Amino acid sequence: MLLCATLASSVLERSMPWHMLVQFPLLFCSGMLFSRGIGRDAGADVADHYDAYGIPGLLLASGVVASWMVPRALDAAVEQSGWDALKVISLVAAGALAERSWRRAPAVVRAFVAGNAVWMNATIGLLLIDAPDRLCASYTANEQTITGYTLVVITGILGTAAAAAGLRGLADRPEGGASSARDRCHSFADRCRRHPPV
Amino acid sequence: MTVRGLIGAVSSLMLVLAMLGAATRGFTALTSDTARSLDVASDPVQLPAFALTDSRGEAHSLTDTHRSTILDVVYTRCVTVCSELGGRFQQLQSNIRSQGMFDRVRLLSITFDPSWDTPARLQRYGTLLRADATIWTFAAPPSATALAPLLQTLGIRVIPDGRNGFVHNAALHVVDPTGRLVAILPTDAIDEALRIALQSAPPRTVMP
Repeated sequence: MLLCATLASSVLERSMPWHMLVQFPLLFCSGMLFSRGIGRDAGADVADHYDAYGIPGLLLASGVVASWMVPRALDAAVEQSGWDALKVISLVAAGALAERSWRRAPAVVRAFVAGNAVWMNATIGLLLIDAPDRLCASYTANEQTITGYTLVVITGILGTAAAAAGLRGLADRPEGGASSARDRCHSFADRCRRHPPV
Repeated sequence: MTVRGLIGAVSSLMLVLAMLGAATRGFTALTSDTARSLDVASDPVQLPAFALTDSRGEAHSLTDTHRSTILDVVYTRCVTVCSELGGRFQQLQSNIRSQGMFDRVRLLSITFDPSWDTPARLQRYGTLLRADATIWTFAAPPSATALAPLLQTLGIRVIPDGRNGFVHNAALHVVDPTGRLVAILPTDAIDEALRIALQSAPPRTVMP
């Protein structure tokens, strides 16, 4: 997936909608898959302490994505391959970091992050639609408007799906799904390991 | 929350602020156009040397006239932003003339499509815009590639629109008599452009 995104980067970056709305998610998701492939590793116990409730990690991951969505940054990535390489590496890393922090995050943090991401991206989409001038020197006004509308539509769909999943999760809670039970067992086992009962 | 958790939270927040600051030139610019304007205003840039041919077919250079130059980059087939630029330059020309500044400031329009914009076409374009040749010159580089270093310094990006036209950002560029770019301004800032051009122009010659 990563290979596809990087190889196709010159093609994807020629058009704003493809660059922001296809390449970015591809890179981010490949990071997530990579992290899931590694699973819980030796460093995770240490990281657990610094990444309280997954908040720092998720904050950092969204900060990376937001920074690359700044028009000046997008232009830099299109114009110079050095910046582009940095963008690819940082987006993949952000995806990996987000996956690991998501696992640590309790439901309320996840809900906050998901909700925040939805309204932030929808707002960016609206700004792109409404902007009187071209924000990126590398892309046409038409592409800017298309990107704006697509972003609003995508965040609308994803936001609704996330809300539905969240509501379903709330409804399921009394019985406790299998995964959450497993998590509770694991965290209990971890605590026993770290603080063995006297 | 433990101390380590706090450290994690604070460092991630600082990293996010650092990244957003880097992307926005220290929270001063969201777009590359704004960033370029701010960079040039604080640090004037010497423009790279480039050869030009004016609308009479004669060799022309930026520093030939020993006046400050207000420069724009256009192409004659443009039906959008260049016609707005043309209007602005007409206003500038009339201001320069009415204020008697023509010995200190001049206007230069450079085409980035020299294959189409021959001297004859530039001449016609100038006539259409009622350009006064003593104030406003039209010129072309030998080729589009020869202009590339200048466009990069000016921060102009040209994108072919797939219909024989181009999409490009536009600005008023103020260049001092020695060829240093001292300001990049939005196209409606003609008074500011004139003011800055006069600041760096040679002093008014006193009539004996």
